[in-house]
Amino acid sequence: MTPEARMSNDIARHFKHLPNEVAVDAIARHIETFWDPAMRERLRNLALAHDDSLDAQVTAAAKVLKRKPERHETQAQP
Amino acid sequence: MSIQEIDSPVDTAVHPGLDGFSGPIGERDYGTPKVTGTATVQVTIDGQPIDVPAGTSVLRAATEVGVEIPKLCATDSLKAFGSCRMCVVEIDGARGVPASCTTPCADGMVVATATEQVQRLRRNTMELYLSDHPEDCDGCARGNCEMQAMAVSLDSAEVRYGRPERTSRSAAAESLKAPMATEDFAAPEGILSRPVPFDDSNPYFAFDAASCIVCSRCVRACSEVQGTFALTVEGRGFGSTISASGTDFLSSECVSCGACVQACPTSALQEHSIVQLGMPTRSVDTTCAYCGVGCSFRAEVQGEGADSKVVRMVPTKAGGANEGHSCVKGRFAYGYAAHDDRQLSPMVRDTIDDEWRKVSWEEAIAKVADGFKALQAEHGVGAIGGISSSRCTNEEVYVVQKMVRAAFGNNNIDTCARVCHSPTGYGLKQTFGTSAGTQDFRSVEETDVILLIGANPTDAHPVFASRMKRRLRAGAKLIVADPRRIDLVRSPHVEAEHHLPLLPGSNVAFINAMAHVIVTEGLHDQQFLAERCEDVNGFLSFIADLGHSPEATEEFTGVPAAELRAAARLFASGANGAVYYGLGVTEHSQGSTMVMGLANLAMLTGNIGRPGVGINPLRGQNNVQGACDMGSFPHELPGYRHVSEDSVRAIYEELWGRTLDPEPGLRIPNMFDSALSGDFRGLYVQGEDIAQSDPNTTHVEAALRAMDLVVVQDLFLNETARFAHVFLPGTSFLEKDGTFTNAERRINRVRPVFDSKVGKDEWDITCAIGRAMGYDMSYASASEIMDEIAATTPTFAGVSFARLDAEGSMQWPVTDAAPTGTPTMHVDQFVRGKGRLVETVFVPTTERSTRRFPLILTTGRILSQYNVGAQTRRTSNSTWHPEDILELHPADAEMRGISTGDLVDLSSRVGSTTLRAMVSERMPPGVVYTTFHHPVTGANVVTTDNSDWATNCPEYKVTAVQVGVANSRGATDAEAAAIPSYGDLPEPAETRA
Repeated sequence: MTPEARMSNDIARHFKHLPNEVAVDAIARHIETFWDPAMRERLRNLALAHDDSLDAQVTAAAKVLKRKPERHETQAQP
Repeated sequence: MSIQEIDSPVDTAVHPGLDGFSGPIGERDYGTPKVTGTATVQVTIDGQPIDVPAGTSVLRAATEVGVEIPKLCATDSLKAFGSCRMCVVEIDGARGVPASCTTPCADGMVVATATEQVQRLRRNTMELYLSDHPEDCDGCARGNCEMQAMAVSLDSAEVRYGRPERTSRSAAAESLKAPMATEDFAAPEGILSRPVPFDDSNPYFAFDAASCIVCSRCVRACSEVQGTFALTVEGRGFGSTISASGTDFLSSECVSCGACVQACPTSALQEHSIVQLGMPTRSVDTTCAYCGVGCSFRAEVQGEGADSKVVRMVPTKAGGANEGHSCVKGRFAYGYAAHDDRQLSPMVRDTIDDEWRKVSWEEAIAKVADGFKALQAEHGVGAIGGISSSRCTNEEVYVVQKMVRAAFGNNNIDTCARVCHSPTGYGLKQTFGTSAGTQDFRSVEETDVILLIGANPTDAHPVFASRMKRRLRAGAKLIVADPRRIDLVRSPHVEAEHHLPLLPGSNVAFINAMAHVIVTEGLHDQQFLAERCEDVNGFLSFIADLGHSPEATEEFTGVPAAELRAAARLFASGANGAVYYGLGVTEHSQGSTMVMGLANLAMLTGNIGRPGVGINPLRGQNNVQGACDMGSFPHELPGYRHVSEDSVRAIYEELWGRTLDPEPGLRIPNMFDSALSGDFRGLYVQGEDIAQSDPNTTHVEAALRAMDLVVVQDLFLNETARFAHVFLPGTSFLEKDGTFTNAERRINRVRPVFDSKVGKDEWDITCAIGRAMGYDMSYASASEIMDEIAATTPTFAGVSFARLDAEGSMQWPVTDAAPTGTPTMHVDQFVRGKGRLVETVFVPTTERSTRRFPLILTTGRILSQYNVGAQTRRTSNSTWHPEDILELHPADAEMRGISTGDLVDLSSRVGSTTLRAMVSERMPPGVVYTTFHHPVTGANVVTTDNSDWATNCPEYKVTAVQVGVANSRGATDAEAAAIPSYGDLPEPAETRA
């Protein structure tokens, strides 16, 4: 299981008591708030690949995660 | 004044004690404790009128009005004792000459402190004291004896009864090598001779009974201030002597806090360092760099510049956190700063298999900057990151996160709070609106019922523990929830009403059961909930479910339902209930949920918003709170503001001149995972030994090996440095200029005692890296950094070095509305407006005991050592704890054939290590315990990747393990004897990081 799958499944377990739609939204919001975009993208790819290590609610949440286009290059030097 | 100079040590010998100071560079000693209250009385002392609170002693009132009354048994950290008869005075209308320390001021009282009669009585009394005090006393000659100075001022040089001589003891004291001995000294004819023990068993101080006047200040300090009761007076009359309960200090219950040494008015109890180095010539007020209590100290020093030597560290009464008390670490374990292992030069190497090569700062900085830039060019902006340290100052931490965000151009900044109190930040922000404890330490003095869970303050936060014990001795009730029977369950004059030995991993079930009882029995504060909280009805319905009852949760918690119900009723019935917790709460897979559960409990019972109540996280390291405040988390800018907030980013973008990433960066464990997948290639680590402190050492080491450039900035070549390519030498707290923020949000100044031994400040090193990477960041001083913090962080708006120097310390928020700080938070409303009750569902950890790994390991800290031991292992503190020890219950030991002292294998699903065992009924069956202070043990070899669901704080407290005898033979008698027996063993704590 990938780190992203393990961590997102942990999150899902803690929202299991909520109604499904609420739980999916809570999982997505939590991951958007605290996860690096590259990790979100890896999770999304797992979900799109129907990786069976993912909790069903994680799969649903991953598909609605806000995506970041390209990391902007703040490193560009004057 | 924070920095004091004295002309010469000779002056110190003349006046200490008589001018109202405990020493020439010490604080004024008012003789008896301060009395608070609104009612006042007016007294006239030597013609000077003064109004004082009713109950104030004549001795204190005199000192306050500037009249110094001689005293020996009195000091303002202890209750009046009235035994030495030096502070006698005459009072109009009163018979005799009462002791001013035990006489309270009365309205209209007229006092004369220096009449011929009282002076004559004092001289006679002093003469008697001197007749039993060696004329050649080392302390008197050195200027470290209040009594000698007082005798001089009283003109009591002539002693009609003769004085003993102790030249033989002088030699022994100088050598500091004499074993504990009892010897006679030459008593004058007609004076009874008595045995005179000299005890230098303690590595930091000696007791010389020849200099002792048996004033009991040490005994009272040990009981009243420290609360250990290790000292007593043995014998009677002239034969009475101070005793460490019949043994030597090292073998006794003494915890080496130094309170007795500080209280001693002679040199009977004296630091070895005073004997070795002599008296200090200057002092600097600063802040301890060990635990989250953040004690204030006066560093007493000899010499100037980098060659200065610290003679001793003396806790300051003005320190808001400690109010004059200390522990064995802060008081004595500062020698690491000058240890030979300190690395003072930058070093580089091409691969981690090469030898280190000392280089110039310029070459080292260039290697770091060029390497990081190359990695970003090849692998992307996010390929590098940094870790800031809770051991460093706010200013140093702020600069590190600035370097990462502005110079690195990403948010890959994290801090060691990740592995300790990150769930506190999450949980309290969700419920109360800000990521910090709600009270000051003084608050405990108004608490009626304390719930102490997952914390062991007597080991991990000993100075606060002493304050808590004082309150408990005064009648407050205590509930201890902890798998282990920690000292506070039962110690001298303290006994918990309830010890709830809940099983590791069951915290949330436990706290829900507590709330269930309170709600279903109608003990909740309905008015508080209605006025101050939201989501109330939903929570009440949730928690009233029978699934949360003590009876239903008993199978998870292991706590008998009736006992839990009684504890819940006790907590809810107290006028003021307060929760104190440590890493036994946070370091679980449900750590954040549990913090919210504790917040629920406080709100349910209305225990928020006034002194005596609240949620009190006991922070592990000196600046965990500050490191979090300063924006060390990858999702938050300083002041806990999310990076996605445009208005907040705009503040820094304008000031820093760089566009900031609006997305969260990588947490520490994410960095490791990304390193192993090849995405994360370079790391800057300041002041954290991740290879020893973070879980699953094998995983961490593999990640470090996978990186192309690891930069370690530290005092020592620590375990992480084994994987580093660049080593940048850091500075100890004795060299730093800045601030620490302790567990009560108190911002304290850290002042340089001597110049940086590496020639640079740590923030300047960080700035140099940023500049070398093309981002212009520089400051003229640490004060300038704090000014930037204050200008950009609302909760720090009123903070500056000048304000801190004037106020002593301040607790954030420091704003226009609270210009001197905020001791108690959420008084009229929560920071988020309404307090939010969160439905805290119990989700058991996935880490389970099995037939292969049938025991649960939990880890923590011990009094004498500190975290990975980098500092304390380089001091004499290792006298008490030279190795990590595995504690296990007798039943678990017996079925495995393990005896105390045996070497045992400790193995989990991820690794194994070997250490010695100690069989102890302190442990419950099925649970074993060890510390993580020694790299040779490497306890984190066995801890797993499991972590808190919300923050990824590691689940250090629950690891399924097996234990077995490691060698074919059992322990020899000598090996077994080397392991302290139960009761002697310093108590490991529930706290880490």
